[in-house]
Amino acid sequence: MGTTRREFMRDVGISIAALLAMRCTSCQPTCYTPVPPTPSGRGSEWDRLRQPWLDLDLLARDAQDSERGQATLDRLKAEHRAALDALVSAGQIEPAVADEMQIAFEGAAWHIWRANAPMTCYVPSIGPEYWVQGASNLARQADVLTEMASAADLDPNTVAEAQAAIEQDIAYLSLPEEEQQAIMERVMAEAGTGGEYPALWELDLEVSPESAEAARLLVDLLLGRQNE
Amino acid sequence: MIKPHLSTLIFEVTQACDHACIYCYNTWRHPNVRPDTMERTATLPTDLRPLFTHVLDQVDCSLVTLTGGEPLLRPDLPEIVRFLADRGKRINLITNGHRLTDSLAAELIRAGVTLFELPLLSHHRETHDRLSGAPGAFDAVLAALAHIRTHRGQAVVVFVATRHNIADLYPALKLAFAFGARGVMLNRFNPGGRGAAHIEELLPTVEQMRGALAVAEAATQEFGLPISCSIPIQPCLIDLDDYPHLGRGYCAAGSSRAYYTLDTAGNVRPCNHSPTVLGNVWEEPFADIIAPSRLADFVAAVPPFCVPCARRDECQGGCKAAAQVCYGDLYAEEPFLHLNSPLAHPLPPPPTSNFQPPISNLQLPTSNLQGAQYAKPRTEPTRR
Repeated sequence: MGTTRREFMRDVGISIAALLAMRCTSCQPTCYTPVPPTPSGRGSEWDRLRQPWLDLDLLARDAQDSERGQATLDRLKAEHRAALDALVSAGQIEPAVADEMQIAFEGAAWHIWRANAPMTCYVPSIGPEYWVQGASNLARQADVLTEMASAADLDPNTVAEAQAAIEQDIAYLSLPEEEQQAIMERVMAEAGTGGEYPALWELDLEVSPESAEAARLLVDLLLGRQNE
Repeated sequence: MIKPHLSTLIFEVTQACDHACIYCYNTWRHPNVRPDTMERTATLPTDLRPLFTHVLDQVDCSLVTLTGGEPLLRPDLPEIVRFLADRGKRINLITNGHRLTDSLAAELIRAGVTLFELPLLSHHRETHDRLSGAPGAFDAVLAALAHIRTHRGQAVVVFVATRHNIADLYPALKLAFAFGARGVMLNRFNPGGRGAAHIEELLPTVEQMRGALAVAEAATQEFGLPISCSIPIQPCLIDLDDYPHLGRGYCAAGSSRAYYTLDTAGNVRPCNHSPTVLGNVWEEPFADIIAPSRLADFVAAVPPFCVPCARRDECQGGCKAAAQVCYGDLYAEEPFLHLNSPLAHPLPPPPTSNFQPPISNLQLPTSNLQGAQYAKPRTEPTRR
């Protein structure tokens, strides 16, 4: 059975919400705290439409209190709808398009609310985050590190540690999906129910010789050393 | 009662520091900031948990930024981080990294530090160490970045652009990328504290900043490294629209994105650059301290030069805290604008706009926050 239009729009909304959430954790301006820049306060209807999306993090926090969370959820949906209606009245968007946008927002807001509300059937949990960058980016990092190590006369021990960290990331990325999954399952098992996740390097991982060799080859490949 | 919602709160967990950065903005290092306006402690205050509990019970804030001074001088820092993390807070740690050993990095990351903010001022050891006023600072900060990465932590790098190091920006960005920084904050030198004594020596020219921004614009695309200009740059001096891939920020005081700053005695300031003490959390509710009426003068202050400008509400004249510290007046032109004012011109409104400057901001100052600045705060925490 295919995805319905409504389901599609909900997914669009949830995807946008996820992107917004990721942006919250990346480096953004203001003095000394990486948070988004100050709104210009110009107050156009488009700004009003944007604001409920930006307030989804507020919803995530309010959702931890059921009454307050519900109130914020309702308020944001109403504000989004009101901003859309104003844009429709101004002839800037078609009514049907506005309806789709509202579906997307309501899907996103409900998802955020449900993921954060203290519900027994959807217990919020923060999984371990073993963040690694894309392999090509890591290879470039290794190249630049090598270049800067000589150009800037860096401490060899520091360079070696940074290089090892890069190679560790590349090795992790090179593992087959099932082995990455096995690591994650191992992590979850080690964590138990206490919510304390062990660090990756603390696990007694069994990486097959084939995987280790594949990792080494990939490092060489991406660093251009495979023909040396 | 609904708690105030803030993006972040900044806690200065100590005023002590093991560096002597000549660009330092810590207001208590400025001779014009009267000693009794800030907490000064020869020894580190003991348990800060009552203060954290008292404040965080009154505000809805998911991100706490720990700074100083140098927070790693506190031996109980991991305990502080754990305490905050147990309350569900994300934690940024602003540190010079000098004391961030491998084991301490691991401990802090495990305890709950979600982001480290570290200075990287040059690829030249001598330049970085001289600006930091601390031999060994360069090697230490790179080692700290390596430790953080090894333990799967996240770090952003702060490049403070001064006349001494602005030419080193590109190689410094390369170093940041190589060491796995998640982003770079390209902060032009913002005088305050000790740095206020070095304005002409350190403050880059407009032309130098334009060059640095062009370098950063290219580098952010070359390395995929987010770069933001966190200290305000006035659009009448440099149009940041020419650098579309760089983040930018203006003063957030008074908004939910403000970064109110607390010292260990519970004094609250509008930001970590400002010496203005709005109140003390042991004496009145936090919501009262940050009430719009309390901040009205601070928020409304713009230099007379900026009043006719169409972008005044956005730019606010730059960093008014720097104006306050350096020239004793919130309504003064802050140093970057003041020293470059021959190059600046109030920007006209867009041709089709019916721009009307808000009346509240047309009213020139009759007072500033000197009274609030010199209000005597508490010097010792009071537990209730």
